[in-house]
Order: sequence, then structure tokens, then C-alpha cells
Amino acid sequence: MPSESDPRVEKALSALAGPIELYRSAVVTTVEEVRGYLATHRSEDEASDGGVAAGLGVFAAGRIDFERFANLTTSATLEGDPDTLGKVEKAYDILRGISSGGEDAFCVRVKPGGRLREAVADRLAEIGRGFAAARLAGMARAGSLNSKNEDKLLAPLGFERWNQAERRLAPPLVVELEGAGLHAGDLAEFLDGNIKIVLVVSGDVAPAPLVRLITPSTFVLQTAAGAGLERFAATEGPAVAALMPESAAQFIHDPAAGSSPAARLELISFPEQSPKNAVGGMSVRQQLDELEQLKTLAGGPSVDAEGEEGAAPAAGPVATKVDKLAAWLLSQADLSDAG
Amino acid sequence: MATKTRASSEKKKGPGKGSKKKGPEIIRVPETTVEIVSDSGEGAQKCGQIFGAVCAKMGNGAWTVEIIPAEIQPPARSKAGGSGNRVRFGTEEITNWGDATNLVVAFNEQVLLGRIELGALAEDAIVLLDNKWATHADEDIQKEWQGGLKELAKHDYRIVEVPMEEECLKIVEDPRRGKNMFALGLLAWICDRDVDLIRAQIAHQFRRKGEEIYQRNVELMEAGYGWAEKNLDFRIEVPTIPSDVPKVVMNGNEAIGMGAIAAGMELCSMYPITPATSASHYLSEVYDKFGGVVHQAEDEIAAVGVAIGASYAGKVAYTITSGPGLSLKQEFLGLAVMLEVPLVVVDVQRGGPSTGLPTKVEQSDLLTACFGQHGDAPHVVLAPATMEECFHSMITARRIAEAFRTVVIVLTDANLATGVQPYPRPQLDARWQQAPVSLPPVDENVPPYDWDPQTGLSPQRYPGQPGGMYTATGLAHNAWSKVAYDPDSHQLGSQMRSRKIAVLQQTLKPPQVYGSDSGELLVVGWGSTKGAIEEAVDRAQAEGLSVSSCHLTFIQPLQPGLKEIFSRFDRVMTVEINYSDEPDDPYITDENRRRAQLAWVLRASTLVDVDCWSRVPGQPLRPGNILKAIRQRLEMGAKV
Amino acid sequence: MTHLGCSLLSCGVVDDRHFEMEDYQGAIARWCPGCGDHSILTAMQRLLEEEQLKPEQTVFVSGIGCSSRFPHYMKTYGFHGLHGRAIPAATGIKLERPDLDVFVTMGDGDCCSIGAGHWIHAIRYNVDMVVLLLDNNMYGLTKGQTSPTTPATFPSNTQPYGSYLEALNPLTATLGVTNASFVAQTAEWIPAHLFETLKAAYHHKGFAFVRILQRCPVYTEKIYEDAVRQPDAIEMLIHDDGIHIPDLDEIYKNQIIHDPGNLDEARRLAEPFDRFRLGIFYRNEKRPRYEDLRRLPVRTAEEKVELLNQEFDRYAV
Ligand SMILES: Cc1ncc(C[n+]2csc(CCOP(=O)(O)OP(=O)(O)O)c2C)c(N)n1
Repeated sequence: MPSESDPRVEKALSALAGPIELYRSAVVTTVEEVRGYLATHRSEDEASDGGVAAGLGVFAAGRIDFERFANLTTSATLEGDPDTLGKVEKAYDILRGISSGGEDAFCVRVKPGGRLREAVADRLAEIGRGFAAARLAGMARAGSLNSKNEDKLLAPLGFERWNQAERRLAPPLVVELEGAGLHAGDLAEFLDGNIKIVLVVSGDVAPAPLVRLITPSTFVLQTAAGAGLERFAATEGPAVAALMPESAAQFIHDPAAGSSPAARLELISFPEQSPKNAVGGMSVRQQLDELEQLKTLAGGPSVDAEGEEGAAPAAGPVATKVDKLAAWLLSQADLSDAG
Repeated sequence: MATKTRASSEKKKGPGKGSKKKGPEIIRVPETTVEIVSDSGEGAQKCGQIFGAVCAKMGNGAWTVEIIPAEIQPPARSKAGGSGNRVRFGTEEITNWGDATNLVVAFNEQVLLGRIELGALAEDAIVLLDNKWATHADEDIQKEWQGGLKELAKHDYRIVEVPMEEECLKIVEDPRRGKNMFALGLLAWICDRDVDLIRAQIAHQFRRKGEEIYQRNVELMEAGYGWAEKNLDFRIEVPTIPSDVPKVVMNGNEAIGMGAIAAGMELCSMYPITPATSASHYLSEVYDKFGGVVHQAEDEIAAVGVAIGASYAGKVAYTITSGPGLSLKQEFLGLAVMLEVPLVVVDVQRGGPSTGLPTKVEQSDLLTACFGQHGDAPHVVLAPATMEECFHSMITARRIAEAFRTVVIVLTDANLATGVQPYPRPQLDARWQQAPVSLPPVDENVPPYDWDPQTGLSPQRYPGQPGGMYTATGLAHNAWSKVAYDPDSHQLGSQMRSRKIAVLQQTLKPPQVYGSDSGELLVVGWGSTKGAIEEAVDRAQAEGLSVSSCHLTFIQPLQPGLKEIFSRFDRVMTVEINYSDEPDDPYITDENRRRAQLAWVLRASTLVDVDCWSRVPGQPLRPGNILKAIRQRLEMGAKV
Repeated sequence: MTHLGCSLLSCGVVDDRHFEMEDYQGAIARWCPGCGDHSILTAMQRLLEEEQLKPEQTVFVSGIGCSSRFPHYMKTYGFHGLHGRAIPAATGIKLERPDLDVFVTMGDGDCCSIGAGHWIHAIRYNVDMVVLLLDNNMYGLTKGQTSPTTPATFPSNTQPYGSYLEALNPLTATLGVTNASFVAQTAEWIPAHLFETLKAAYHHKGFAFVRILQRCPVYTEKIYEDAVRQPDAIEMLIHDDGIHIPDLDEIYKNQIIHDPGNLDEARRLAEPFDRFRLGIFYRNEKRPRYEDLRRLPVRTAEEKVELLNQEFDRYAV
């Protein structure tokens, strides 16, 4: 897909090389682990003389008696039941497919008129298929595979069913779409864990649509030339970016940059002209509202800005209380296995 | 096979003033040995490396050896300063460096005389010598030159003076940087080497130096080629037999590095030491793309400690070192044995003790490799004999380390490390790679050292396995890894660790005997001497002597059947590159004689009166010298 | 290795275990009654409980010495290796398995004498681990020999007329090494401070070095006697980014505000002084970590075979 598309997609992909490699490495590690599991559980493999001979290599030929070596060194074959092994093999194939897939796996294109939410949800579910396959293999390894849950595990797994660990390992996505289709709210439900979504926007677009996604721990970036993408890629936690036309607002909201909204938000450029037309169903008023919100967050009342220097102790306890409350709420929410 | 390169018909003609040139005399031989020597820094080593690689690429058997100055910073034009490379190549496989050089290119007469004093040259060798010294501004040097020529005249050499400096000055300003390529050109014409291959090899050698350097070097090489074509009246022809077996050519350290990669090892934790370092140079260049790391630690102790930590927690790691480094690692090796943490250690042996001969070959770490740890620390020691085995042994070593949860020491040496030999290209197998550690939950009722009472083997447990928590400890411990000082626990732990080595021995096959199955003398060797020993045995058999040989790969445990094999010979003798007293040395008796290292081990384990012949020349052994020792021992009669 | 890859296999497994302090208790500690190591062990078990660390994902690494028995008394994975060599082993473990939490305990002989070389270099590597120096100013296990941190003139079995040399200062030593990223000092007899310090060290990403002043009732009882009895002998470094335990304000009245981001000030405060200064001297998470610098992609067996074949092409005849 990248070939025929916007050069900005390439740019986004190369900025995301780190997170992509991180995800790919996790998949490869898993593939190798499952390979190891299958090898030790398929009697014809590792434990056999042939397997032993192969493992010992050419140097051992003529010097080591493979049959004896196999008999003396391999503990009783851990023969798995064929049914389980068959399923693990299927899971293995899925994971291998993912590990050998190219960058296309991380690129999504929203067709004109299509919904952003659907496109992203579908792709994430496809990626979730890998997590599900890994769950299956993990359960087989732990001996807890039961027929009730296993079939689901060879199918796509929607993001809503990913657990925290999986959300932390989520790969980044680069989404190409037209400005008219950019409904930021469509993405809200996916901004969790370590997910990173870059929107490559073409055509008319509202000036500051991503403002709606600013929450204290979400990295939000609007940029034209791609400035800030590196920081975006390196951030820990959920992140969303849009590569916009020059005319749009440009800003970085970086949760690590401070504790107050003003400290976190860096306004790089503000549109010279205010919006005149509705875009994709977003009225002028809605667009203006977003811009107003951006201004408020960026230059907002200076209580907190001062707090950075002198008033920290006063703000401190309040902040910690809020943090604690948030932490408590999080701990109550059962995110461990949404599926 | 001494090579006859001397022209039978004397048709001496001063090179250069050839009036009407007939075709050159063709000297056709099955093999020959070529060397190039210079002051160090003049690039003779590079020239030799390229020449050797080209011979291999053309399908010849080949074996190269580096010529290293006897002194660290020798003065220019000194006998001790000769630096370069020696290439033995032939129609068939070449398994060792041979005896004497047939063709030598020397950059000055002093380094040449140094080589002659070492006995490096065949009596009928052809010598190409840079003659710039004859007209040197310094009169002392002119005198030395004259004296040198007189010295040379005492021998039977065929000497050709070559205006190397003069010719090189036509291309470069500083001939010190270029003569080597000119010399390469000379050799290329004389030995009819493929010039395209040479160009490609020059490109490979100077791959990090840029196009300009490459071009200049090629120009120099072509100049040497052209000069030889115009002025020389002989050529040496070593036929090549085309073979369909695809081959690769590399030195033993590169082979070790590639073997480690092929074995799926991903952490090489090392501290620089000659002659082991070049293995890590190679790895550092390519390891990233395999997901591997060369960790250069702060010292050898840390290097092995990091490897053991990694092996304890995951995939088998390894360390590469040489004698002094091995000494420093010993305490940690004992720990690895005690914890039953798998580990591969490569010891590229050099001359010792102490700093010894840092760049030169010796086989004197065998005993410290086997017994250097304090306490009883049974583990595995094996020794590849060729570049090919350097590669393949790493795969086996890693697998044994893992299966037996023990330390495997791979003994190579400076001869293998720096020598270059072509060998059949390995057919790689993904099953050589190690899978990532699996971390399934563990039954809490199973101890971390769940020794099979028969074999002493137990599955390794890794951090991350729920329910399996234990503390690996270097203190005496029981199966639960609990510190236990009682007599029974220590006896049992020692027994289990030792038993594993016996079990490994039970999986080994007896070694092959080279030559006939019984006879008057059996020569036993290990490591890099294999080719030289077998060549000596071939020659002895051709003389009608009753000699066979047997080369040991596993030193600890020893392969089975040795006693039985030895019993079929009147006399058994090891040949090794380490020190031993000769039986007729002053004060030496049968009781106090200090024997070569493998001989000690064989005597102890077979109760056979194994004799030895060993030398520490800082060079590989020559087949001719081994042959002499064989003759001499046979004269002494039966001894078993 | 410093591989990026964590496995997906355990991601899907629901882990709703809750750990109590007992869950971290290994064998019964056999240190002398009154030995400061007991208190450190308790604080550590409290930390693990508070952080709910998974026992199987936690590794304690030690050298040899009384203090190095520590791993045996934890119910986690442990590596009780060689005298002075805990750090190399821990480095190997962390490089191979970045997913594990690694803690190192060493005595003053272990860390500052026989293992000093590793200590210095480990600071530079800045591999993510918690490193505790249990400093009783003496060789305990081998029964009372002078250590590098024994105060001058203090007698031991090897220097019965008093230590000849000035004591080595582990804090200035650590702070002086390039790439130091976390240096703190605490005392085992102030459990609240000890706990907070361990916690801060655990949360630091990088090589977190904590010197713990530790009483040895047998050989160095006298050294800390005053400090234990008289809070006045202590000076607390306090800061919002450091450690401040209001409950202790009443007792430890000597306080100095020190920003752990200030290296020069940290070095100055670490110099010998007539009181023991406790708190975080220095903290900087921006320091590069070796394991991050050497991060590598993971390759499948097939990929490696293919790449190695390409390598062989370079050497093909
Ligand atoms: C190579 C080596 N040298 C010496 C020893 C003996 N030894 C064991 S512990 C120790 C010193 C212990 O002192 P310290 O490190 O301060 O720890 P402590 O016992 O005081 O906790 C010594 C010298 C050893 N085990 N290994």
C-alpha cells in the first residue's frame, strides 16, 4: 500500500520504526518460543535420533552416537495430545504470518465515505488475531487449554477484548484518510496502553480536530512537516498524531512535559484564518470550539504555571489525591482480561 | 612432498635485459609454498592474505600462516623483524603449513636472512628480492646488502633482483605503501593467478577505504604483473581440479564467530586478547543483524561473569579468550560447573606461561582447561583441528553445554585463528539455532536440581518460571539448592556433576585410526596439528615405516576405546606443541620427566606408557620434523 | 540479550495473584541477632509486597559475605555467586532478560574491594538494577578484617592497632564516575527511611546505587553506636524530588534541602562530614542505559540462517 500512496506515509512509517520493531520483536520471540514448544512436544522432532543429530550438527557426526545421546539426555518425551498440538500449530502459522508480514500490516486506508472507527477497529482486530493465537499457545503451554475458549482464539480479536499487557504491546498504525472523515471521537476508545496512531490527512480538514482527544496521559500531536514525530514515537503511553495541511493548527501535547495542561501543551502555530465552512459534518461552531479549547489549554489560567515554581507543595497533595483516585479507579476496573 | 622448483636447465639470463624472449620455463608441481616478507608495516601480510584467498577461490587446496616478527617493535631491516604471510597451495587439499618455502618475495635482504636462519626456505627456493638497497644513499646499508648477497650465495637459491621500489615510485610517492600490491602482481604472474579474482579480493580487503585506494592498489598489482611478464623467465604451475563442492575460505577465528551465530548464541562476552580478539572483531561487524551482541567487559572476569549471568537467565552465552584470560576466568568456570549453568568458552591458545608468545601458536592450555579450577569441577573440553571444525564445533559445543548443563571449553590456537583454509560450505540448519527459553510454570514439589540419579542430568530452570523460585549458589548445596555442608549432600552433588561427564563419554564413539589398525608406532595428536601429523605419517608409510596416527577431538571426557587402540601398537607417542622433557635430556629420568600435556592425560586414564614428542617453536609443527621424530622413536623400539 | 522482544505468550494469562509479605520470605535468616541485615531484609520484603512484584520475575544477585546470603532469604529467584562478582552476573541476567527486576546485594569488601572494578564500570553502563551496598565497615563473614570503608584507626583482626588508611567513601566514588544516575544513602536502623530509599531506587530506571549504613553487632558495633542513639548525628537530605518523611522530622531535626538533580551539590554533600547524611544525593533518569544503547531486533531461526548464508556468500570460493 505505501507504494502508491502519500509520501507522508513513508515518513510516518520511518518515524515509527522503533515501535514497529518492538512489536515485531515480541512476535518473533513468540514465534520462536512456540517453535520450541512444538519441537519438544512432537515426538518425531527434537527427542528423536534425527532431531538430536540435527541439533548436534556436523561436528558430532562420527563422533557421537546419536541414539545413545537421545536416550540418555532427553527427558521422557513431553508428548502433547495431537488435538492440542494441531491447534498450537495453527496458532504458530498465524504468528509466523504476522512476523513475516511487511509494513502493510501497519497501514490502513479509510475509503472516502468510510468510517475511521471501523477501519481502525478492523485492523486492530486483525492484529489481535496474533494476540489470540499467542493466548492459545500460552494456555497450551500452561496446560490450561479447554475446548470452551479455544476456537475464539484462532479468530480476530477486537481491541475491546485486549488486556492491558496486549494493549501495551500494540503496534503503531498509520491511517490515510480524507479530512472530511476525520472524526476524532472515533479514536477515543483505542487510546490506551501503548497504542500509537498516525493519521495522514488529505483534503479539507478542520483546523484542530485532535484537540478533542487531549487527556492528561495521551500524547497528541498535530503537525504539517512531521516535527515532533520522533518524540511521538518515543513516548510511553497512548499517542495520536495527525499530519495536516499547513493551514491547520500545530501543537504537541506531551504528558511527560509537565503536570498542568499548559506545561504539557506546546502550541506551535495557530491558524491564521478562522474556519468558514463545515467540514465532513463538523460545523463551523464545532471547529471554533476546538480552537477555543486549544487556546484555553495552551495559554490557560496561570495558576498551574506558577505552581511549577513556588506553589508546588500546595498543588502537590491535591494532585496526588487525584492520582490516587485515578489509580484506585483503574485498579477497580477489570482490564486484565476484557475478552 | 618437497616441491622441486629448481630449473633443470640452467638458462640464466639477467632479468630485464632479455633480448629475444622465448616462452618462460614452466615449473609444473602438485603443490608449492610461497611467502612474502617485509618489515612490519609494509603490508606483506595483506598481500599474502589476498594471495591465499585467491588460491582458494581458484579451487586450490590452501593453508596460510602469518609470519609475525620475533620482536614487538623490531628496527627496520632486521632479521628479527620479518613480517608477512606464507601460503601453501596445491592441487589437492592442503591440511597444514608444510615444511619449507619454495618461492619468496622479500622486501629487504635482512628479513630474508632472518627467515633463512629460521630454516624457513627450501634449499632450492626461488628468491625475489627488492634491490633498491644496492644503491641506497646510506653506505652502511649498501655494505649490509653486499654482505647479505654473499650470505645468500652460500645457498643453492635462484635469486632474482627486482627493482620493486623503482617501479612502485612510478605510481606512488611512498613505496612503503604499495610494494605489497606490486609483489602481489609478481606472484600473480608467476603462479598464473586469476587477475579478476585478485581485483575482487583487493576490493574486499580495502572495502572500508574507498574507491581511490582500491584503484591505486589495483594499479600497483597490475604493474607487478606486467613487470614479471616482461622480465621473468619462469612460471610455476599448480594445476587446479575443478570441483562441484561449493567452498568457503576464512580463518579459524571467523569460522568460530560464524559457528557461534549458526549455533544460535547471541551474547559473546569478551575482553580483548591476542590471538582471540579477531573473532570478536568479526562478530562486532556483523552481529547486530543477527540480533547478537559482543559485550566488551571491563576484564576477563567480568566477561565470563556476564556470560554466566546470561546463561543462567536464558540462552547459552559464550566468551572467547586466550591463556591469560582463561586463568582469570577459572573461578567463574568453577561456579558455572557448581550452578550447572551452561557456558561455552573458546580458548585460542598462544605461547605461555605468563604473557609468553602472545601472537604465536602453542597447545599448552590443555591441562589448565581440564583442571584449572579449584575443587572438583568436571566439565567438557574439546578441540577442533581445522577451520571447518572451528565452525562446526561451536554448534556441538553449545548443544552439549545445554544438554549437560555444564561448561564446554573449545580449544583452538593461533595457528587455526590466523590461518586460512578453504572448506566445504556448510549446509546450514535452522535446528542448530537455540529456541528462546520457555517459561512454563513449575511444580513446586520438584527441586531445582532434579537430578536423575543415574545420569546426574536435570532440566534447567529459568527466572520467570512461576513456582520455580530458587537461589543458585556456589556453596555446596542439595537438590533444592539449599546450602548444605553435610557430608552426604556434598558427596551427592559432586557425584551428580561428575556423572554427567561419564554419561557424555558413553555417547561418544572411539576415534578413527589413520593408517593401519596396528603396528609399531601410533602417533596421537589433538587440535591444529592434525594435518601435519597425518602428512608425516603418510611420508613415513611411504618410507615403509609402520606408523599410524589417531587424532583426539574430545579431551575431556576422552573418547572411549583408547586403551584398546593403544594395545595394538608397540609404542604410542603424542605429538604436541607444548613443552616436554626429552628422555635423554640431562637429569631426566622416566620418573621425573615432564611430559606433553595430552600424554599426561592419556597415561593417567589408560595406564599405557604413552611417550611424547613436543616442541614450543612458536610456530606450527612441520611434517618433516614430525617425520624425524617418528624415525627416531621407531629406532628406540617397543614400549608398550 | 538486550532484545526488544518480550514474549506474547504470557500476556494472555490472567494473573490475579496477590502477594503478602510472607510470600517473599525464603529460608530463615541466619544472621547474628542484632545484625542490620535483618532490617534490610524486612524492608525489602515490604517493598516487594507494596510493589506486588512477581516472585518469579524478580532476581536477587549477590557475591560472597554475610550480606550476600540475602538471596537465600528471599523467595524469588536468586544467584549467589562469587566474592566481588555479583555485578557482572547481574549485568548478564539483565542484558539477557530485561523483563526481570534485578536486585544486587553486596558487602563493603564485596563491592569496594575485590569487586571495585566491576562497580566502577557498572556505574558507567548504567544497566537498570537496584544495587545495595550493605556497609558494615568490616569483613563480616571472614571474621573481622579491615575493609576499604573501615574508619581510620578502627582496629580489626588484620590491623589490630587500627586501620592505617582513611576510609574509602563509596558515595563520592560513585558520584565521581561518568554516567552515575542514582546515588543514595540510608541507614538500616531507620526503617521508614530505608524503605523509602529502597522504593525510590526501585523506581529509578538505571543503576540505582544505595549505600546502607549497617551495624555489625560483632565487629563494628561502636562505629554506628552514636548515630543510632543520637539523631543529632544524622542529617537528612530532603526534597520533593528526593525523600522526605514528615514523621521523621520530629526526630531528625538536622535537615538540608537538596535537589537530587544537582550533581555538583551532591558531590559536595557526599564529602566526609561530622554527621551521616541520608537521602537521595543524585538522580538523573536521562542518563543513557547500556541495555537501551545495545537494543537489538529479534530474528527467527530461519531469518538467521538466511542472513548467515549471505555471510557465507562473502566468503564463497
Ligand atoms: C576470591 C575470594 N577471596 C576471598 C574470599 C573470602 N571472603 C569471603 S567473604 C569476604 C569478605 C566479606 O566481607 P564483606 O564483603 O564486607 O561482606 P560482609 O560479610 O561484611 O557482609 C571474604 C574476604 C572468597 N570467598 N573468595
